[in-house]
Amino acid sequence: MNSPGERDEMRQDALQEILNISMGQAADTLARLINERVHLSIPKLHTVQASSLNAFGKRLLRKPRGTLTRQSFNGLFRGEVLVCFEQGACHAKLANCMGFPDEPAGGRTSELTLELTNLLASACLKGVAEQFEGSLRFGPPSILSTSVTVIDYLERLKPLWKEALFMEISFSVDNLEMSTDLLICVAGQDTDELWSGVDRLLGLEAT
Amino acid sequence: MKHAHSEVIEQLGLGILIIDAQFIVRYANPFIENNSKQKSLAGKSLFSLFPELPQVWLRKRVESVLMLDNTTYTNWHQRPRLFDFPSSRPITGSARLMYQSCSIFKLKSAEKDDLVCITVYDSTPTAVTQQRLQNSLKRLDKERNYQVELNRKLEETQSQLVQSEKLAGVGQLAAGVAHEINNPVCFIKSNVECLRDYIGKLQSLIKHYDDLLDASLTPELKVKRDQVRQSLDMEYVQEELPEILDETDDGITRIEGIVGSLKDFARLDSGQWQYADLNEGIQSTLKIVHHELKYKVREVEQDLGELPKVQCIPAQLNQVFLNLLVNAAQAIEKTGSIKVTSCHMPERASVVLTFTDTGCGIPASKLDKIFDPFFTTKAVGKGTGLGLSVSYGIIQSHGGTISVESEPGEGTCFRIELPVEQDNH
Ligand SMILES: Nc1ncnc2c1ncn2[C@@H]1O[C@H](COP(=O)(O)OP(=O)(O)O)[C@@H](O)[C@H]1O
Ligand SMILES: [Mg+2]
Repeated sequence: MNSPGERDEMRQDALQEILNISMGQAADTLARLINERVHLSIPKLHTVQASSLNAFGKRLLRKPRGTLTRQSFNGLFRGEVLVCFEQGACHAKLANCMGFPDEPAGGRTSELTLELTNLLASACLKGVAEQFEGSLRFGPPSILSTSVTVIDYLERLKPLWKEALFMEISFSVDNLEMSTDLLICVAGQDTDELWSGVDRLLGLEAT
Repeated sequence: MKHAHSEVIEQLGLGILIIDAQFIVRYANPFIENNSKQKSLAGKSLFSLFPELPQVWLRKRVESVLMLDNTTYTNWHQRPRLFDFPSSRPITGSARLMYQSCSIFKLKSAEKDDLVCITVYDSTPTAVTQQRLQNSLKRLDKERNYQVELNRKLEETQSQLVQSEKLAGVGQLAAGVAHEINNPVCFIKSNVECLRDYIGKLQSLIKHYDDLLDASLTPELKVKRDQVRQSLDMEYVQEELPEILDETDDGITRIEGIVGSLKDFARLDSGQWQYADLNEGIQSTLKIVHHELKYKVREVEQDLGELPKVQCIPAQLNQVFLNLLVNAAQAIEKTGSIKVTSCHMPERASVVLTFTDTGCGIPASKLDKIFDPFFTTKAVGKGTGLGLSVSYGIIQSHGGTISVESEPGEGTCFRIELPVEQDNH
C-alpha cells in the first residue's frame, strides 16, 4: 500500500494530467467558437491557506488587475470559477466573433464579459467532467468588481474557508491584445468529492 | 408522473421555448403563448415569430451551447429583454415591455438532432425595485454633492468672516489710534515749523551781533569771545541745527504717513463711488511709485486690456495698486521685473487685474498670514504690515476678491477680480 504522502502526490499528478487534457480540448472548442487561435496555459495547482493569501499572491504566475467575475458550479464537485479580465483588454474584436454588434455600449461590455466567463468556465471544466464521467451544472455568472486583483478581493472578503484548492489557468487569443486569468476554486470541505473522483480514476477507491 | 411534469410546465410562471438546431419552434408553454399573443407556435421559425430577436448573436449563442453542452444566461441588467413581451405591470409599471432574464441550454433528445431550450424569467419586479433604488441613490448622491458644496461655501464664508472680523476690530482700534496720534503730531509739526522760524531769527540775530562786535571789540575781548564760542562748540551747533530740524520733519512725515495709512485702513475719509477707468488708475499709481521702483525694475511691463468703466472708489483702489507695487518692489532684492495686467471678463461681468513680480516669493507657511493686519516680514520702519490688510478690506468692500499665488525664490502674483457694477451702491 502507498503511504499517505505518496498517495497525495499521485492524486496531484493525476489531477494535473486530467486538467492538462481538458485544457487541450477546451482550447480547441473555444477556437472553433471564436474563429481565432486560442492558448490556454498548463494549469497550476495551488493549495491555499486563507490565513496566508499573501503567500498565495506570490505564487500566482500572473496577478492582473481588472474586472473580476465569478460563476458557481456543482454536480460532480462544487466550487467557483473566478475570472480576471485585465484592465483595458481589447474586447471589441472578440465581441464581433461572438455575434455582438460593433457598438461597444456600456451594458454590452459587461454582458460580453459575463458570457466570456461562462464560455471559459464551461469549456475548461467540460473536459474535467467528461474524464470523471460525471456532469457539472453552472449558475449564472456575475461581476464582483471592475478594478481589483483576486488577492485584493479575497483579502477584503475574509473568506469562510480555511484551505482551498485553486487551479490557475491563463487564456489568450492570437491577434487580440488580451489575456485573461481563470481560477477554478474548490473549498477545502468540498475537495473530498474531487479527490474521490480522482481516486476512482486511479483505481484507488477506499477499501 | 409524466402528466404531472407537463402540467407543471404549463402552470409555471416561466417561459419555456424549445427549438431545434434549425431554429424551428418545437414547443412553447402558455407563458410564451400568452405573452406573444400567438397560438400554436410549434413548427414555425423562431425568427419569423419573433423578429425582434438579435439573430446573429442568438445563433452564435446556440452554437456555443450545442458545442459546450452548457447553459448560457442573459440578465435584464445588461440586456433588458430577448422577446418584446408586454410588461407584467401594465397599470403600475413604468416600462411598456417586460424585463427578462433568460437562459439557453441544450436538451439531450432521442432524436438525432439536438434540441435547445430557452427559458424566460420575468424580471420586471426586480427591475422596478432596482430602478427605484437607483433613482434614490442618484438623488441621495445629488443631495450629498449639494451638501459638500454647501459645506465648502460655509467654510469659505467663515474664513472670510474671520478675516473681516479681524479687520473690523483692528479698524476701530486704528481709527482711534490715528485720531489720538494725529492731534499731537499736528502741533508737533506746527511747533517744529515755528522752531525753524525762530531759530532762523536767532541765528541772524547772532550774525548781526557778531558783525557789530567785530567792529567795536578790542583784540583781547575778541579772543575771549572766540574762546566762549569754542567752548560751547557753536560752530558745530549752527551747522547741525538745520539737519536736526530736517530729520525731525522727516520723522513727522513718516508718522503722518503711518497715520494716513491707518486712516485709510479704517476708511475714515473714503472717497466717492463713481465709474472709473482702472487702467488710468494703474498708470497714475505707477507714476507715483516710480521713484520707489526705478532702482530695481527697469520698466514695469504693462499688458492692459480694454476695460469698461468700473463702479468703484478710485482713491481706494489706487491705494491697493500702490500697496501691491511697493510690496513687489520690496520683494525684489537687486533687480527683477514687475508685470501688471488687466482684462475684461464679460461673461462674469468683472475685470481681473494681476500684479506679478520676480521677487523673493512667499513661503507656503506664510501665505495665509499676509493679509492679517500688522503681519510683516520687513524691518521696523520699512513695513507696517498694513498694506495687504488694507487692500483686502478695500477689495472686499468693492465686492471683489484678492488672491495670491507664490513660488518662493521665483516670484509672486496677486490677482484681483472686481465686479463691473456694484449691487447696492
Ligand atoms: N510681492 C510680494 N512678494 C513677497 N512677499 C510679499 C509680497 N507682498 C507682500 N509680501 C509679504 O506680506 C507681508 C505683508 O505685506 P503688507 O501687508 O503690505 O505689509 P508690509 O509691506 O508693510 O510688510 C510682507 O511683509 C511680505 O512678507
Ligand atoms: Mg506693504
